[in-house]
Amino acid sequence: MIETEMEKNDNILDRAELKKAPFSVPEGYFDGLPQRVAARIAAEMPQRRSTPLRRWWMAAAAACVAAVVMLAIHLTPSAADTTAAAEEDEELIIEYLAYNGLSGAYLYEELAEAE
Amino acid sequence: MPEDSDIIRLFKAGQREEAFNQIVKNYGERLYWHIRRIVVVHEDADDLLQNTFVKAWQALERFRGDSGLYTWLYRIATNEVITFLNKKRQAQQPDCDPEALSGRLAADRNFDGDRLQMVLQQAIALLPPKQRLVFCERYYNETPYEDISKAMGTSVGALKASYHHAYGKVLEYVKAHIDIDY
Repeated sequence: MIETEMEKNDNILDRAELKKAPFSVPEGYFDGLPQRVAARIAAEMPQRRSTPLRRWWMAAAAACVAAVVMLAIHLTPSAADTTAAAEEDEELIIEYLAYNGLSGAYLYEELAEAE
Repeated sequence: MPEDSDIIRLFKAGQREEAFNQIVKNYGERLYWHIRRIVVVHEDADDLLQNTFVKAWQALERFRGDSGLYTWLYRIATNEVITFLNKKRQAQQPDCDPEALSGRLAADRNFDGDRLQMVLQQAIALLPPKQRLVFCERYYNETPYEDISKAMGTSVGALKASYHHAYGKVLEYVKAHIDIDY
């Protein structure tokens, strides 16, 4: 029976030569694998032990950022700006403050104290 | 080859490095080919294989022996591969583009295929990650669906449907990109 072109094409994925993955590895790759894995584990494990130190740095950095933000809020002329804005509608104030990167809740407290 | 139970006993007795070396020797090559057939490029397969062993090292203390060591490692490797492929797709990296993959493979000293093999690899690279994995496992290894199901946490029925769908897509791509006389 003559195989049609369609039948030939339909079987193309079933060809034995296709099922052999066409990959090779560098010479000696598997022989050296245990040593490379051991080196990788040794390299990665010390980073995990430094977590408490990393946490300390992150806490210190967060405290510095908070202090700078508080100082900026206290010193910026936006207090004068918001004094004028405080006479406007409440939602407009919050929107204005959010646009300038300031917390509406925090400044409400400031304005209440100023009054 | 030492039994899994002997290796685990050695590990828990404190001879961790020796036990783990044995695991790498026993299963490293098999895991490598499992990964390589899916990701294609040697450097990527090497990186993922090492990631797999690092995670296994961290988790081995908690290994309960519900499955064999190889099955457990195979699951870790499979998750690493799927995460890797998903990241590549999200980043739209070159391996997801058939022409870019061709270029990469043509320059790869560890790729020995002809034009037909290249087209097949392009077709496989276009599959979504889980379909790619199922296709490679069935097509190259004829891994039983039940074993793939345990590794991926997907039902056998869904895997069969996934393979059938992937096979159809790969076949269509190959037929469209090679000469009829091939």
